[in-house]
Amino acid sequence: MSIDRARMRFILIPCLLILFLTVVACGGGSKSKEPSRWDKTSTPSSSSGSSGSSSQAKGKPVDGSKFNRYFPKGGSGYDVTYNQEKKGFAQANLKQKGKSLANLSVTDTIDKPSVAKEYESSSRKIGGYPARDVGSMGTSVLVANRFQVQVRSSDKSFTKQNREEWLQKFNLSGLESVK
Amino acid sequence: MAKTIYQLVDELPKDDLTVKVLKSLDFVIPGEWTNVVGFEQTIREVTGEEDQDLIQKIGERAITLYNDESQGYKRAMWLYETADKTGSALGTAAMANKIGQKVDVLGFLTNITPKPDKAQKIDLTFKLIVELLAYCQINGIPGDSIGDFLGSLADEYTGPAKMRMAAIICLDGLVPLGPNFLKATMEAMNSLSPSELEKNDSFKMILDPKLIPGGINLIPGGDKLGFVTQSLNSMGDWITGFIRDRGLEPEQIIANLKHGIDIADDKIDYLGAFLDMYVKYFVHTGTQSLARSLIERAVNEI
Repeated sequence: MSIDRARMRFILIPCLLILFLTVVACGGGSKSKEPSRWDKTSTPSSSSGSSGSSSQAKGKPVDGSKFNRYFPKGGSGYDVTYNQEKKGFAQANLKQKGKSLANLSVTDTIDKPSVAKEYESSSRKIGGYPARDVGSMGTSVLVANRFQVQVRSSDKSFTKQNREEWLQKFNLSGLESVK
Repeated sequence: MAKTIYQLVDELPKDDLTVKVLKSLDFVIPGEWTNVVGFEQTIREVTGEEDQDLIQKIGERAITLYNDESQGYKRAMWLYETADKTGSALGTAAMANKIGQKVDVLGFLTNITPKPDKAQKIDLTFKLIVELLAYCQINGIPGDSIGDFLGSLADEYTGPAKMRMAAIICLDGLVPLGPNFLKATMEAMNSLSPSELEKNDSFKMILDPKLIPGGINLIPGGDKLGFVTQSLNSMGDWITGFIRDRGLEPEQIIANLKHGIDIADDKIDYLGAFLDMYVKYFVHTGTQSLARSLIERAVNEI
């Protein structure tokens, strides 16, 4: 009888352990089932998403590599390093003595018409182009009613005035010719 | 169903074994990595914005970009996950091999499992190649741009990306293979044949288009082994400089690891295999890096 009990314990304990681990594993997944503010975000196959619908898009965005030549150049202690280049988007990091100051970017809004719409109500201009603030850390202009050029401070010492100055260091008139 | 980016970032642990190990490597890049978790918190950190409507727009755009498979971000996440999964498999095999060497009854395992050193060298190389490929997917650079990747290593790698490189060097290089790991790894990889590379369980995952999301060829050109060895050799100077500038040594790393995790002195031989099996630093820091890149782009596109 005592041998049967010992055998039972030998079988039962691993089974209980497996059951316990299964319950814990399933319980650990319950965190992802809590409702999230992001749950309703659509999952379209295009890249338009919440900034505009693909059905309203007036064409396809150009390759990001076409924007690079219109970015400000480094020099006088500043470095401009490209760090993203996708369809319709190019981004660079502005640094001074190794310290990151700002993000510089050009976005093709042809597939995101709601972005271009944001400038319709703006009477402000920078370098002759419609301008707006994007939150408290970004300033942008719209070129040719299509290309959004933005400078975003990544360091608080880089002010709004600095952003406006660096927006005008882009070759904005050259950017108008991009197709 | 695969998780989307906000779920991945929301579910990053604030403190677990992986986080403890990463924190124990703070001495390598002091203060440069903080364990930022949570999608909303990451948006605040990356953009400096607090307005809730703006945070919502940024988050939605980042999620949309991630979900669009043509953008490459999902593939980058798959690469990070693959690096940790294959590490786990190697850890299991190497641990079995270690046990085989110690316990006579299980001695036969030594003949059928990979030798720890060779497996570890391949794993180290694999992780470095995955890092390069994931960088190219996230940044949109052509897949064979070793030069662009090296430039970014020198100038742009910060925060979670820099911690990931530190962990590769310390946990997959110095600790399991010792101070001469780089030379030994280069020699091992230079003596590998193309068919050995293609049959390797780790590299198979990133060489066979049928196994890669989107069915694409991650490494262009016919000479895959040539690309791997060229990439490894090109990273050599940066890795050597990283170690030299910090005076990194295996004993020092192990001493710091022991502050964060409980390792018995007589189990140090198993440390490399243990780290492979249980520390998911690639996915943890990879998720953080990917989220940062997505959010940086998203805030510029709204």
